[in-house]
Amino acid sequence: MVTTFLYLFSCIEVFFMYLMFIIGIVFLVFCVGGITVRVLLCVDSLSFIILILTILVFLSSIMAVLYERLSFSSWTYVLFLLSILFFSLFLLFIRSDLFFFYVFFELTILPIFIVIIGWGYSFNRLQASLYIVFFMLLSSYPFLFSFFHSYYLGLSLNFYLSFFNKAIFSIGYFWWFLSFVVFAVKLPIFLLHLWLPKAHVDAPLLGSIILAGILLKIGGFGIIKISLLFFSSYIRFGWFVSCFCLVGSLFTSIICLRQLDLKSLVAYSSVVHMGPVLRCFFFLSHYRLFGSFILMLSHGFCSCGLFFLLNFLTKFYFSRRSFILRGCLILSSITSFFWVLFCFFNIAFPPSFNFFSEVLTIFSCLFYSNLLLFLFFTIILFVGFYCVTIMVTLSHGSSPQYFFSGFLFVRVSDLCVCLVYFFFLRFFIFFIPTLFCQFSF
Amino acid sequence: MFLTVYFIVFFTLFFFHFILGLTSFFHSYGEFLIGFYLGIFSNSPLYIYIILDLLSSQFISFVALISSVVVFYRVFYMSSDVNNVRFLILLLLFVASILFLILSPSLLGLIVGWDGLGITSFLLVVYYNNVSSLRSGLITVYTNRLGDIFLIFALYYLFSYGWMGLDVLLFIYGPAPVFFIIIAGITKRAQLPFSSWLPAAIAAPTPVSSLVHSSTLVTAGVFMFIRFFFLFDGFILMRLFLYISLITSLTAGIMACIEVDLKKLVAISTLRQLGIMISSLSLGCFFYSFFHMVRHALFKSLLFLRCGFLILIRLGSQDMRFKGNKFFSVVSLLLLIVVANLSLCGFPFLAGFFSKDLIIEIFFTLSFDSFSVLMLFLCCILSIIYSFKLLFFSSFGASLCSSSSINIFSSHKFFLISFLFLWSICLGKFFRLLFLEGEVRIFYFFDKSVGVLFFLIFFMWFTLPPLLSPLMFYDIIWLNWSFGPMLSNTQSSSYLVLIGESFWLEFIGPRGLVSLVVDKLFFFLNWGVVKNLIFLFVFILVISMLLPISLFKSVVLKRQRGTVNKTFFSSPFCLP
Repeated sequence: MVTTFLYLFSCIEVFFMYLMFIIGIVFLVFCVGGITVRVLLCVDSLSFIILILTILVFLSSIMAVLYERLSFSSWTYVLFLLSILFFSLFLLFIRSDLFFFYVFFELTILPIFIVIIGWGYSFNRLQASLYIVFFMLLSSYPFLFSFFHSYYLGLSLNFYLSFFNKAIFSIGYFWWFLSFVVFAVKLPIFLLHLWLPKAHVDAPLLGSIILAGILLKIGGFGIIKISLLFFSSYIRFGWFVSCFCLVGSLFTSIICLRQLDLKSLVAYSSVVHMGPVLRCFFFLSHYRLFGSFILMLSHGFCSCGLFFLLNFLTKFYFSRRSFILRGCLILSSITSFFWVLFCFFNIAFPPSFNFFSEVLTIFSCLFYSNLLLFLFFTIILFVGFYCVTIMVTLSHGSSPQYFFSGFLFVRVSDLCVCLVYFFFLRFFIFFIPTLFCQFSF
Repeated sequence: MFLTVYFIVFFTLFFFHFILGLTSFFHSYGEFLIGFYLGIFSNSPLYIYIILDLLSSQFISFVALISSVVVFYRVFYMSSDVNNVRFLILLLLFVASILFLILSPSLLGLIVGWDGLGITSFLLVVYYNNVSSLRSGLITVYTNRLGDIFLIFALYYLFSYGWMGLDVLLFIYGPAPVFFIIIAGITKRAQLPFSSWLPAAIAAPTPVSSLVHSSTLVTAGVFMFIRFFFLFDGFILMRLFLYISLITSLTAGIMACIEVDLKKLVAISTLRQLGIMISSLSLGCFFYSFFHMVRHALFKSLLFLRCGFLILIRLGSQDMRFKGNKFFSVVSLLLLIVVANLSLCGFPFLAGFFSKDLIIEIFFTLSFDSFSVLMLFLCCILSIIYSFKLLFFSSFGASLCSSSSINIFSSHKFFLISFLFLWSICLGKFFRLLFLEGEVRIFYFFDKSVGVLFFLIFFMWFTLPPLLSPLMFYDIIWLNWSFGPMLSNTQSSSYLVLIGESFWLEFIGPRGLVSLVVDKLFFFLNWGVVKNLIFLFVFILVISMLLPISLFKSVVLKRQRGTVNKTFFSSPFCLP
């Protein structure tokens, strides 16, 4: 027992040392190198913010693993996977080269695949993991061809140098489309989102938190990063993407209204929110990019909190269905408090991170065309409908009769992850002007 | 817990008096605008502003008064409830968000309070864990969400000019943002297309209703209009909104006359009063509308608290057909009933009178056409009908509860409510003297005293019979008395005949002669009942004698000073 504990402790400690090492490198690069260290390692403020986000998400995912109370061998395995994932994410975010970006991008698929297939809940996890792998790989090969093609044309693959390419407007829309699809799948946008609800439903808590918290953000990061390479295409296809994304999020919000599985509802909800995000990436203006970027962050944290609470309930009641879980939160007011709070954050309750980010994205879409008012009206209305509905389903009314014998044990330590998310969403609004001034890409 | 509540109550009471003292200061010295700098955002500096002027200070002071009374009231109203602390926290969050709404002159701060109001009111409506409260809570939150969306769209127009103060709209934009703000206001104050949530939202606990659904939440929409009135002043659709508000209040008046649920009737009457406020607003008299709003907040919360007492007596039932008979048992409750109801229908020289009559008078001078005046008068007549219905249902009539449940009343429970009570009697006169000097009166003192005369005659018509004949008082016909026989078809034939003909003619005729001799014994047996009636009689007489005297005095004073006609329909203060 003691040795087990020591081993476990050493594993965690090694992991944290590793984490500290990487944070140290980030700060070193920031202090010493300014922007670039030989152009290969490069941290701008976008990467810096997203690295801090990565560290936050990993801390909370470790807490989620602690909460799962896995067996000893699983522990080491999970920590190993997490370190691979973190390593590849770290290099993905600070390399400025498209080729290495591609390599580490592929490397992040492996750990999440193993997590889903190893600790997933049901037999369907096989299908879900295959969906992930095939969607990712099939969409990423065209990306590979695309940047090999631009390399063949003699263009630089560096993010920062690509702006100085003389042939910048000569790269065709076809090649842009090939490299865009991979990020559209990763984000995901409507019609390419099929893998996401399946993965979320069958993934364990760890997988859900990593997926919602950080892996979906790679898509947005990549779209911002390749924008300088395919500058003209972004301007050319703005109208198409705006129609496509926003109508897609309208459809998805209607799908959300009819979901019975609460976890897949939260997954679909992130598809809804990614529509305006992708639209704002295509404006390539400073505050619009900033707005959609912080919308990605805030929505990621919000859905992480919802996933955590849903997992908490699933462990007690062995189901994720709304008609089985109905009214179960009246047994514990602290859980109910967090659930109501995250639902209201999801519909952008004003003094929260979500409110400012959603307002920024909606406004920047409306500046493009006032006709989008009608589309946004229905989207916001439906988002409000399903968020209030799931909020009320769990925290109001009486639970089915067979639950009265049961009891919802809640320790505050179980919910401290939620507390972290709550503080992030509630109190980071004071950093928004600062973040905005520092934001560059 | 109890200490906390007392602390909150006395703190807010202190706050109330403090801010109320400030109002006269702001009246003479204009307003303060305090800004907190946040940073530069996309070339536009972000500030959070707080405005302190007559409007905000006066409204805040009365919100503080009402909320302190409500917090105190919930101690014994919901003493058996498990989630006492949660309820208190939600109530305080609600008050905090309405303070945000009142204090912020810019739309960015306003939207925080606006959404906060919607969400906390939803959580308060679904506080009771049953299906009907859930249903009405969902109606409430969805309608308020609609308003939020419109407000966000209005914010978009402001954001495009980099200045969150609404005054930018004066110079730049066409009707679109103003239209969005108006629609948002209509959803919040439950005007006609969106009026279904207000009667539904009475599923909340009664202390909440008295704070939320009568005086603060629905008036948030009105207050926003008053605050940003300069936007809507010459707006082309103002006439449309006049008709919307009048039709809403007419519908609400008709609904109130046939309603039997006690709380729902009061909620619908709120809807009607809101119509009056908005119609005066769309005629351009925003300060009169504000004046009426504050007074309405006072007496409507009093009315709701009174309903709470009746519901407590009746052990939870809200059907007003069996609410009666407490009229003669509890003097303090009786006073609440009479004063709140009379204020509601604008009985002369109570709080509701001063503001409501102003609005009726300006309708004569400023309205667009005679049709709107006609509608307004119909509304007023309906309001008198249903408020007397409320009065008589809750005071006379059958009661199915035992008299032992009256023991829940003791004097200290009425201590704080007496604050509301006193203010709702004397506030109208007081504030009219302070802030509305020099308005034009069309009707003078004697015209308005006709109302008092009619009321006294009416009141004697129904109170003298039981006084004179205790035998008749216990008659089953008397107990099943219902007002408005034309509207509710129960006992429609019996009422006029039995009370009007059978009683008075019989009283003068043969039966009175017999009862003079026989019933004196019964009279003395029921002396406790009669004492209360006499008390009420003297009370109303004193009020109706005292207040006209003060009114008369002020008119004389003003004539001496020569301040009449200084300001006609706009207030002397300017807004930011």
